[in-house]
Amino acid sequence: MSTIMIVDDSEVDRRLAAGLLERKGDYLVTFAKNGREALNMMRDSLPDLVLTDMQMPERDGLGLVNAIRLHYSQIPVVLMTAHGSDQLAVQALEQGAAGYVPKEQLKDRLVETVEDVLAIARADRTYARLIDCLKRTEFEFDLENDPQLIDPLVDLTQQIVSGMGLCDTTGRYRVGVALKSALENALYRGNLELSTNETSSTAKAREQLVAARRAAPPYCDRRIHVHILIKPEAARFEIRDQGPGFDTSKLPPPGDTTNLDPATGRGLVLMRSFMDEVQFNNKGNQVTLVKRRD
Amino acid sequence: MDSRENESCVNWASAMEAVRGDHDLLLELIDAFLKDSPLQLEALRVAIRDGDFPTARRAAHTLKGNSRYFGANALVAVALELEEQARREAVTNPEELLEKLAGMLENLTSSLLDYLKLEGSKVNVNDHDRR
Repeated sequence: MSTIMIVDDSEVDRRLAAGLLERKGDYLVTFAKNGREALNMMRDSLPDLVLTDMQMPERDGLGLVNAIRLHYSQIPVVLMTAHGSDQLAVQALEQGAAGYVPKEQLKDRLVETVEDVLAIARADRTYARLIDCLKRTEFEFDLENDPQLIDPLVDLTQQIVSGMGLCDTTGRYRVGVALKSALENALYRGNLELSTNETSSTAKAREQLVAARRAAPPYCDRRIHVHILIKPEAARFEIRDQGPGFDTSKLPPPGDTTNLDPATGRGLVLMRSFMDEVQFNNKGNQVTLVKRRD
Repeated sequence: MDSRENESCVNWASAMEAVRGDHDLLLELIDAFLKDSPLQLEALRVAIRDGDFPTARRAAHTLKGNSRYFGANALVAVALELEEQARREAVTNPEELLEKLAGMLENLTSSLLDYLKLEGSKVNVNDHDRR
């Protein structure tokens, strides 16, 4: 059972988030009304994950993220962002948060996001000592359109970037979250051509649609090409799908969260916040991510 | 039903959507709303009176978020206006806006209490102040 600490000054939001989590998974939920109360509670007992609002009295979400990064860097923080808090969220992501869920999408995204971040946090450390000795790694994959291949690839990459000393524990989650966003984008939006609405629909509806597309031409013949080069000073990830691409000139400049599509824009915000470079090719079917040593 | 009442009626479809159709969770959400909203309104009044704009902004922001789950769009709009004015540290017509907000909140509270009564819920209706 994982313990989730929910930090929010609104009782309504605390109860909603707790209710959604408790009904879907095996979670023990604890509550704090602001960042100060959360940090006091963490002196006695550490949760597996902190889920926090941004705007709170005493100590806000940004202050909480900074304190956790400093004192408890092994605990991932997920933000709940209200409309109008996007800029604050980007700042918090840059300073150490592992992910975010817009409050208007709690019902569809909260459980999935918490599960993803927890899974990344638990990534197997079997090869940790061996990887500590690694000097250079290069991988090339041609992945079929199977969502189940994404997590193992993310886990493997995380172990290597962390073992080679590119980043600390929080940085490891963040590389994992960014890489996962890029791979999911290539799979769902690229190769399977799911629309914005379809991508943000409920997990069950999306699962059915994915199964149907994976079996039908032209989607079934497409692959995701992944090229990963990791050296002690930097990691470079190239992810290319075989979908039609998209108009990259319509992407907002980095740091600009206005007019960002709440469903699909989330992946872009995460990639840009967690990686040092994010570049798309002209066709819009390949993204290159670079993470330099912290 | 006067126009103000119309404006702040609950949109039950939105409310059910927010809780993924889970009726028990909806009752919990109503219970939390009935406890939290009078506190936020009072915090907003005091903060505006004292010129404490950061607290006023947060209280208006929380009221806005809480009301959004129940689809009370008119109330959300007034709370947003107060939040924006507090952000700019220049609240114009505070009395008028607060009165409007309080009236809409009262109507929403009544609708939620009526629903609880109708449902014969586990939540004790008498626990909540019908303000």
